[in-house]
Amino acid sequence: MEHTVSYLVLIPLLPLLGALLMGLMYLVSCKGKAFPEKIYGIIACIGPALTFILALKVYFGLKGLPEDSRYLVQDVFTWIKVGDLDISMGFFADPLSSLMLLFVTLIGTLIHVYSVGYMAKDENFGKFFAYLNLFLGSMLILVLGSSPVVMFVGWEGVGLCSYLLISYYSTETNNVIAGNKAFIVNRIGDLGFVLGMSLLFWAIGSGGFDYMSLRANAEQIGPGVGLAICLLLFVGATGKSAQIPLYVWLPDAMAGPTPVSALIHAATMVTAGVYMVARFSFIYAEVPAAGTVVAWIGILTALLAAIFGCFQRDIKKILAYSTVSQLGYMFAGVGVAAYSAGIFHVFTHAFFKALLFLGAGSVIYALHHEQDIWRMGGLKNKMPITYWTMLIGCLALAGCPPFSGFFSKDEILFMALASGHGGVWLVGVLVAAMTAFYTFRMFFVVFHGKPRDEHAYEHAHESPKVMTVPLIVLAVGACFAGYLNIPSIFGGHLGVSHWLAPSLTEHHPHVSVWLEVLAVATSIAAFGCGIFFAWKKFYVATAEEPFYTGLANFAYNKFMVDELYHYLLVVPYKLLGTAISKSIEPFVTDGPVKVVVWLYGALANAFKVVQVGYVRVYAIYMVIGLSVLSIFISRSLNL
Amino acid sequence: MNPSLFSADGLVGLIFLLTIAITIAGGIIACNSERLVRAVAGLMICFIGVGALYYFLNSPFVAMMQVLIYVGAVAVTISFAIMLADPEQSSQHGPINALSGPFGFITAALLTVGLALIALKTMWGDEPKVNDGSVKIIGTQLLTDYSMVFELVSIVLLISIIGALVIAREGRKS
Amino acid sequence: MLDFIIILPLLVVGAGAIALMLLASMENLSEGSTALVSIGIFAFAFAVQLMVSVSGNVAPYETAFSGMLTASTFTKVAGLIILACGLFSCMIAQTYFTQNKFSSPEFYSLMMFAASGMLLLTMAAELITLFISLEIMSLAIYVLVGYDRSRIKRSEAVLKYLMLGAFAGAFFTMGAALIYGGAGSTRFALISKYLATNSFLESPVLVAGTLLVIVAFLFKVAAFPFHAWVVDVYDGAPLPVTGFMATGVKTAIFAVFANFIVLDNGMKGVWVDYLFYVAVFTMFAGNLIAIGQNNLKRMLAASGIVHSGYLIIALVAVGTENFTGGVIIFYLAAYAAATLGVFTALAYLGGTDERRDSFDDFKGLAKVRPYTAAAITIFMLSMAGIPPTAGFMGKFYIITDAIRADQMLLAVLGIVSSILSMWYYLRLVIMMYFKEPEESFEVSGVSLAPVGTMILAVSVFAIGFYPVFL
Repeated sequence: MEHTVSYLVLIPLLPLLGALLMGLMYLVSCKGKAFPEKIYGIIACIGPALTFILALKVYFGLKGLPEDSRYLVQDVFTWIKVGDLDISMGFFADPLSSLMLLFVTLIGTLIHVYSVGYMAKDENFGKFFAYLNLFLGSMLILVLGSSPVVMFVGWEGVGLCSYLLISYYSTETNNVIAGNKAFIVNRIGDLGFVLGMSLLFWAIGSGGFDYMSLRANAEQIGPGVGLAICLLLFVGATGKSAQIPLYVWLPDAMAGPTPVSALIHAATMVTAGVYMVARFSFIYAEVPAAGTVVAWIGILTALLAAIFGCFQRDIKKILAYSTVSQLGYMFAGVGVAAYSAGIFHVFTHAFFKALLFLGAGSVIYALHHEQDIWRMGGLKNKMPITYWTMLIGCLALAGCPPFSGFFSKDEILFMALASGHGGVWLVGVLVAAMTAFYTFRMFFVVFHGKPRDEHAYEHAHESPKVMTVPLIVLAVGACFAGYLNIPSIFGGHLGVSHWLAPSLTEHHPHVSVWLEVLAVATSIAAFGCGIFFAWKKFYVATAEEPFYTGLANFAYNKFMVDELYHYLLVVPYKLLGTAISKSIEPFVTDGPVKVVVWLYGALANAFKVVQVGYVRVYAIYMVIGLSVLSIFISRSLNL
Repeated sequence: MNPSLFSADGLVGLIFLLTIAITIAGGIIACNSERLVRAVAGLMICFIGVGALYYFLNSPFVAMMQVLIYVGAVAVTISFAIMLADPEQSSQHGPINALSGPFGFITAALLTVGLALIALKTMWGDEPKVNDGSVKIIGTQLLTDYSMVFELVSIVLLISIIGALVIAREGRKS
Repeated sequence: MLDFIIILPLLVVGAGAIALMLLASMENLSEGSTALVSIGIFAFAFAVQLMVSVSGNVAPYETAFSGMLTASTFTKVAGLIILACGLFSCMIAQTYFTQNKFSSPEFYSLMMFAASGMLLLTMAAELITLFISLEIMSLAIYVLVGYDRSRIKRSEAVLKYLMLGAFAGAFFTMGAALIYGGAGSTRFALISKYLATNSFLESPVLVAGTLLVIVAFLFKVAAFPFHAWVVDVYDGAPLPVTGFMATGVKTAIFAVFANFIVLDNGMKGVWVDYLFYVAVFTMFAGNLIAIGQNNLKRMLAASGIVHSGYLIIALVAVGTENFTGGVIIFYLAAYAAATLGVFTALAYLGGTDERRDSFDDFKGLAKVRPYTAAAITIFMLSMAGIPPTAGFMGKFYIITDAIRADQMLLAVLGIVSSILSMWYYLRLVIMMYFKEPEESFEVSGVSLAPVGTMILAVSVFAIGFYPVFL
C-alpha cells in the first residue's frame, strides 16, 4: 500500500535550515556590520527552489504508482510514545498533499525572489528572510505531516511566523497591535483545533493516530462525536482561514510587508483551514450536517467580505477582503462535500491572489508606500507590465472565462447546486457579481482615469526585473491553471479532481447537463453584471470617491464588527477580570497562596539549621539514615 | 556439654574472648584519648584484635593482610601525617556542642541495633566455602579473571600520585 | 576483540589523559591550547563512543572481560552523556581559567581520568570492578575539588567530600563483602542467578549487603539523608569541577545503580518500598534547601538533590524484565544539558574568583546580555520542567512511568515537588528580567563557554524533540 522514501523530510528541512542559518547570521551581525544582501538573497531563494524540485519529484513519484497506492511515507523518529499515544515525527505525501506541495513551493519560491527586490535596503533584511524561510518550512510540515499532531506543529509554526511578519515593521504601534490581534484570534481557533484533535484521539486514536489509520477507522465514530469533532476542527479553520466569526484579523494583517501578505495571507497559510477540512474529508463525509454548517458559514463570510470589499479604499485591504471572500467560497466547496473543487480553488486562488498582491506591491513600491487607491490613478502607462499582469489577475479573481478563477469558482457553485444546496448557490452567484464589481472598481481607479496625486505620479516607475519576472510567471499561472480541471461540459475531464480522488472521500453526483449549463450561464452573467457596473461607475477619468451615507457608510465601517467585538467581548472580559482581581482574588485565592508561601519560606529557613556545615554532623546524618533503613528492613525479613 | 576451661576448646574460647576485649578496648582508646598519637595507638590495637578475629573465621590470609596493611601501613601513615601536621593545630577544638556526646552515642546505638537485628535474623548455617582463600588461589584469580581490575588498580595509583604531586606543588607555590 | 571494542572510548580518554601529561612537559604549551587539546580528546572519544553505540549489539547484554563489564544501549548512551559532560566541562574550564589563575595541564588530565572512571562505572558488572572504578572517579574528583589550595573554601570542600566519601566507600566495601558472603560471587550475573533460585528476604546477609551498597550509591547521588555534603562541596569546588560533578558523576552512578537494582525482581521489590521514602524525602529536602539559598551554585547543588529524587522515582518505576533504562537516560541527558548550560554561562559571567555568584548579582542581566539571559532562562525552564523543553519531557516520562508502575502517590508528589521547585528557578529569571541592571557585566577574554551555552540551549529543545532512546 505505502512506499517508504527518504527524501520527504528534506522538503521542510531545507527552508528550516535556511532559516536557522540566516537567523544565526543575522544575530551574529546585528551589532556590527550586516552581511551583504546578496548573500541573504541567495540563501533565502535556494532552499525554496530546491523544495520545488523535490515537490516535482514527489509528484512524479506518485504518478508512477498505481492509483490506489499513491502514498509516500517517511517516519523520521518516534516522537511521543505514551500509552496508546504513539506519534512519530513522520511525513506523508499523497495526491492531495502533493498538489499543495507543488503550488506552495512554486509560489513560495517566486515570492522569495520578488522579496529580494521589494525588501532591498531594509535594515533587517536578514531577519525578514529568516522568518520567511521559517514560514515556508512550517507550512511544508503542515502539508506533509503524517498525523494531526505533526500538522499541528506546522499549524502553530505558520501562526508564529504570521505574527512575526505582520508586526515586522515593529516601530509603529498599529502594526504591533495588528500582529497581536492575529495571534490572539488564532489562539481561539487553535483551541478548537486542539480540542477537536483530542476528541478525535479519544474516539479512534487507539488504532493509530496517523491519517491512514484514522481514515481506516473513521466509520467507528458515532454521529454525535463526529459532529463535535468536525465543528471543533472547523473552529480551528475559521481562525486560521479567517471565516466568520474570526475573520477580523486578516484585513489588519495587511500591516505586514506586501510579499508577506501575498505568500502567507493570500496564497498559502490562510488556505490551511481548507486543506485541513479536505484532509479530514473522511470524517466530514460521515456527518453531512457539519458540512452544511461549514458551507453556510463559508458562503456568508464570502458575502460579508464582498460587501466590505466594495467600500474599502486601501488597495491591500480590498485584496484582503477579497481573500476572505474567496476563502468563503472554498469552505462552501468543501462544505458541500466537493472537496476537490474546494482544493482546486485553493490552487488557482494561490496563483491569482499572489499575483494581485505582488502587483499591488509593485504599485505601492512605485508610489513610495502609498496604499490609498483614491490617491492613485492613470498608472497604466507608467507601469505596463504591472498593468497587464494585474489585469489578468483581476479577470481571474472576478471569474472571467477562460481564466483560472472561472473554472474553479464555477465548479464550486455547480457542485453546490448539484448537491442540493440551492441557497448556497444563490448567495454564491450574488457574491460572484460583487467580486467582479469591487475587483474592477479597484483596477479602474488605480490604473485608469487621471492621476489624483500628481507628485507621486511623476515619480512612479516600473519595478525592477526581480519583481516583474515573478509577476509574469504568476500571470501565466493565473491564466492557465484553470485548464488542469476543465469540466466535461467544456470537453475536459476534471484532471485535478481525478488526481485528488484517492485522498478524498467524496462522491460525484450525476446531474443533467442542463443544470451544468445553467450554473455556467449564471456565473458568466454575474461576472458580466459586476464588471458592467464597475465600468459604468469608475471607468471615467474624473471618478472620485463617493461620499458614503447611511447603510453604505455602515458597510464602509465594516458593520462595526471590530467595535462590536470590542464592546461585546473585550470590555466585559476586562471588567470581569478587574472585578475578580479586586474582589475575589485578594481574599479567596491570594490569601491561601500567601499563607502557603510564608509557611514554605519558614520551613525552608528552619531546614537551614540542619545544614550546619560540620562534616561530623553530616556523617552522623548518614549513619542515622543507614540505621533507620536497616531497622526498617530487618522487620520485613522472613525467618 | 560445657567444655572445661582448661581443655583445648576452653582455651580457644578464652583467647576468643580476649581478642574481642582487645578490639573493644582499642576502639575505646581511639575514641576517648585527648592526644592524637594515643588515639592512633588505640586504633592499632583495635586492628590487631580484628585481625585475630579473621583468624578465628578461618581466613588466615585476610588476617595477615589486616595486620600488614592496617596495623603496618595505614597506622604508620596516619602517624606520619600527625607528625607532619602542625601540632598546635591538632590541639585546637572546634566548638563542640554539649549535646554531641549523647547524640553520637544515640547514633551509634541506632546503628548497632539495626545491624544486630539483621544479624540475629540470619540463619548462620554452614555455607559452602567458595574457595579456601589461600594465597595461591587469590594470585591465580588476580591474573586471570580479575586481570582487568588488577590493571585498573594501576590507574588508581597513577591518579593518587598525580593528585599528590599537584597538591604538593600548589602548596609550595603559596 | 569485542571486549576491547566496548572499552575503546575508555581507552581513548585514558590514553588522552596520559598523552596530555606528556604534552604538558613542553614548556611553550599555553593554557588555551591545553584546553583545546582536551576538548579534542573528549570529542574524539565521544565520536568513538557514538560509533560503538551505532555499531550495534551482539546481545542485549554483552559481557566482557570474563563478566567484569557489561555493555548495553543503556550503558553506551550513558557513556555518550558522560563524554559530552566532559567536553562541555572543558569548555567551562577554558573560559574559567581566563579569569581564575590556578590552572595546569594536570587539571584536564584528571578530568579525563575521572571520565574514564565514570565510563567504567556505567559498564561495571562486578562488585570489585565497581569499587575500583568508583575509586578512580572519586580520587580524581577529590583532587579536582581541592585544586586551588589558595582559598580556604576549596580546602574545606575537599575535606568534607573526602571524609564523607571515604565513609561511603567503606559502606560499599562492607556491602560488597556481605553480598559475596551471601551469594557466593561478586559478579552481577551470578548474583542474579543465585537470587533466581533463592528468596532474597531469606538471606539477611544479602539484604544487609545490598543495603550498604545502595547507601553508598545514595551518598554519591546526594539522596536524603546522605545529601548534606553536596551543598558545601558544590559551592566550594571550582566551577568546572562542580559542573562535571553535578552531571557526570550523577550519570555514572545512576547508570550503575540501575544496572544493580534490576538484578532481581524480588530484590528490587523489597527496595522499592524504601526507595519510595528516599525519593519523597530527597525531593522535598532538596526543595527546602534550595529555597533558602542565595548563592547560585548552592541553589544548583540543592536542586541537584531534587533531580536525584526524580531519578530515584524512575528507578522505582523501572521493570526488571527487558530493562532499557530509556527514561533514566533521557532525564539524565536533559538534566545534564540544562545544568551544564547554566555552568557555561556562569563560567564567563562569574568573573574573577567567581565574583558574581548570588541571585542579586544577576539583576537586569537581560537588558545587558539578552542572549545569555535568554539561554539561562531556557535552562531554568527546562530544570523546572516547563514545556516544550527536554526537562519537561523527562519529568513527563518519569511521571507516566511511575503511574504505570502503580506508584500514583509518587507521581503526585513528584508533580507537587516540581511546582515547588519553580520558586527558586523562576527567582533567577525574575532577577534577570524584572530588575534594573546595576553593572555592565563586562567579561574579559575570548572564550569558548558562550559557544557551549548556545549549543546547550539548542540541545535542551533538541533532546526534548528526540526521544530516540525509548
